[in-house]
Amino acid sequence: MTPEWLNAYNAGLFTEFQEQRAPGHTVLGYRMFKKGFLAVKEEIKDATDALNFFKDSNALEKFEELKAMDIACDAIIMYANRHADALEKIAFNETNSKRRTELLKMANICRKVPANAPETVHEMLQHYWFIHLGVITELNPWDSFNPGRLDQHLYSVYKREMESGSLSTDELDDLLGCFWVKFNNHPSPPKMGVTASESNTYTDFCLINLGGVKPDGTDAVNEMSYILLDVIKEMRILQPSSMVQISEKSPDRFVHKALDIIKTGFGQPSCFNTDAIIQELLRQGKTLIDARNGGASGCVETGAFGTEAYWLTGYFNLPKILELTLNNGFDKMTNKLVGIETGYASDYKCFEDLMNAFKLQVNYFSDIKIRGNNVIEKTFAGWLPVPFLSLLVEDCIMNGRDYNSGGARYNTSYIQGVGLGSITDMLTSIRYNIYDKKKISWEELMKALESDFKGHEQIQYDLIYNTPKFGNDDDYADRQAVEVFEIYYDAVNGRPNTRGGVHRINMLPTTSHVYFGSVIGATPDGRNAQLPLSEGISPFQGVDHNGPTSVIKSASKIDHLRTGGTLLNQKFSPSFFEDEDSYEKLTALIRSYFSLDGHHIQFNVVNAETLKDAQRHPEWYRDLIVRVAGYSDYFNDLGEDLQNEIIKRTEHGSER
Amino acid sequence: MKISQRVKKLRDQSLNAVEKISAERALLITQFYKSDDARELSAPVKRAKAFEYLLKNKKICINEGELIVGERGPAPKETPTYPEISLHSMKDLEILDSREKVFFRVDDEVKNVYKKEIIPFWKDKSNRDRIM
Repeated sequence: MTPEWLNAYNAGLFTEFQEQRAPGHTVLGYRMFKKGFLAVKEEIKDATDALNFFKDSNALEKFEELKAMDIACDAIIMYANRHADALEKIAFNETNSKRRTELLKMANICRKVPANAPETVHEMLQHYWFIHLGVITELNPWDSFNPGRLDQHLYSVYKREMESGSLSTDELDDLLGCFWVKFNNHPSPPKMGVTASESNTYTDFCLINLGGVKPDGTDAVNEMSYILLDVIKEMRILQPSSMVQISEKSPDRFVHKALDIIKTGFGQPSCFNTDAIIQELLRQGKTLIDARNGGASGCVETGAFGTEAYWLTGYFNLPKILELTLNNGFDKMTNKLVGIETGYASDYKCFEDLMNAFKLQVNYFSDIKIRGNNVIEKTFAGWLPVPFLSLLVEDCIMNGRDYNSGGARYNTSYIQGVGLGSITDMLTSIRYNIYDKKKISWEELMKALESDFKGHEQIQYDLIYNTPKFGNDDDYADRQAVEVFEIYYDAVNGRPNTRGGVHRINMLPTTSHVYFGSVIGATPDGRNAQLPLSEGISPFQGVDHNGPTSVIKSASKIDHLRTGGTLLNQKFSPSFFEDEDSYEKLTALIRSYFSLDGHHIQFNVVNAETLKDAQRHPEWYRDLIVRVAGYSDYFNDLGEDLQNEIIKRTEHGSER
Repeated sequence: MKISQRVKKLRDQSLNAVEKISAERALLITQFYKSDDARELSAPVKRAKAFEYLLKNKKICINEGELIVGERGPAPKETPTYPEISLHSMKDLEILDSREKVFFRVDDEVKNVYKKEIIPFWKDKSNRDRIM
């Protein structure tokens, strides 16, 4: 990497996803739930036969890739057969005749799938699980892997089996329970070095999608959606993660069933706007059918399931860029000139001057990041192809190209903007206190920031309590959110990657808002040095005091449809659900946010007092699970700074 | 959903299993890259053969009572590493082992394998070294 990239990386301007893990960020589509690898081998043979060594100068590369894919097919079939061998051996020594029969049945299933197409629920789950294991053994791709629209994939087979009587409800429960446990057995691969503080969790971001719409556009909620919601509720384990896709066509009963689980404080399932996801995908050029077959994976990332490689490449620290803009590009933490020399705070005669300089800095750092991404993508294409994963994503076989070199039908690279609420409050404070109301001079403000407000407590108080804030449906503050969004969007969106696709933005932090805050000094919104930033597109912790309706109105002022996902978290007290209208109210809130094109909303249902007590007595709260940002985790497993950040989030009660 | 005794047992097993680092995959991938079979192949074929080698030699784990089989590591929550992507140093292993939260236990055997086999082979050769 260039010195500019390393300086920016070390100063915490951005993180790098592909430093410790391979690109993944993809989800299995319906094709591989209907097909075995023997049929895939036929596809490979057809593609190989169709190679044109007279006209196609890449024919040999394609030949080698297809050869590799064929080896990978044989390998996964062999692996399943090894399980069949082992099961038969165990069955031979099993004294319990019921279990022996079961073991022999399992052995037969392992002989059948994934070589052949699955025909029962049991076969389907085992078929998927071998595929899952193949992906996470080949390399350590991000977000592990994901069965995606599981209720859609299972429904028709389930229906047929129930009608024919070949599957009982008890057997189904057992199969789904066993399947769920498998995900929980697989923690995210261990990190190294400083990245440990970037995303510190055992969760590996496998996100099962329920609901949404069918390829023909009709409501996709079915019996299996409800059965799986029940499994989520009863199993109550961290992995897999789950979400509900809510479209205008989804019945309220479906939303209420999800709220049944959400109100228990488990942080699952999260709520997604199917109609927004489809529009986001269509805007990016996907076909309508591919868009309707899509959903969200990881935390909140939009993707066309089974057809798209949508790589997240790193978090992007927007508030840090503002800090550099106030200091002529100089970073006090690493003591280096990291940005470009656009001037010092007091050089900006008006707010527009400051925004122009900020824009130059954003462009500068997105250039550095994108250049780096394009180099890194090529290292994976050159040294680390993934012939197995390539079998699963259309059109890698047809193109004779690897998933890691642009073989998929769609290829997107994302950079995730972090700290929207924080930077909005910082810019609003500057606009309000310095330029519009002239309450304070740049010199006074910079002095207060340098001393981390020591001796300047009154200034800090005014910055926090007497300054407009994002999240209250106040246009004076919210327009800075829109302006930052547009600057960031223009800097990244549409810039080519190396895989025939382009870069795009989304807005989510996972836990990077804690790390990104730790590299920033005191800021003009009154935040002390090193404290966490706001998470996702949520308001800064505790500054939204007008209730959740104002929050969703502020959050929907940015254009979600031009992103690949945004993340909004809201906290409700458990007592909110004592009100018998609570389900209706929350359903209305979700549907209102979605009618404003909001992408995702998630709820923590917990008291700050409970969380504080859990900090004092972790041994009493071993099972306490909270929503972090796009995923849930055990409260005890979170770092103290992240625990404090969650405690500080505004807690909504019953709305007036 | 009714949680049966079978599912309850497997769920408890999963919740109580201790996160550990397994050196199995690191060792297998190193053996493969060292072998003559890995030489003079195109990158995709080499990776496909590596995949085949892993699946042929990794331990098969079948837990009592389960209906869906297959584990990434030798047992639940025994987690492999991927030195061709990024290589853990001895210090990284110490940190993971002793971290209060989100730890991965690393036993002496794993440390030994890392010291003698994995680190000497992959040092400065992982993809992380290539890009950083």
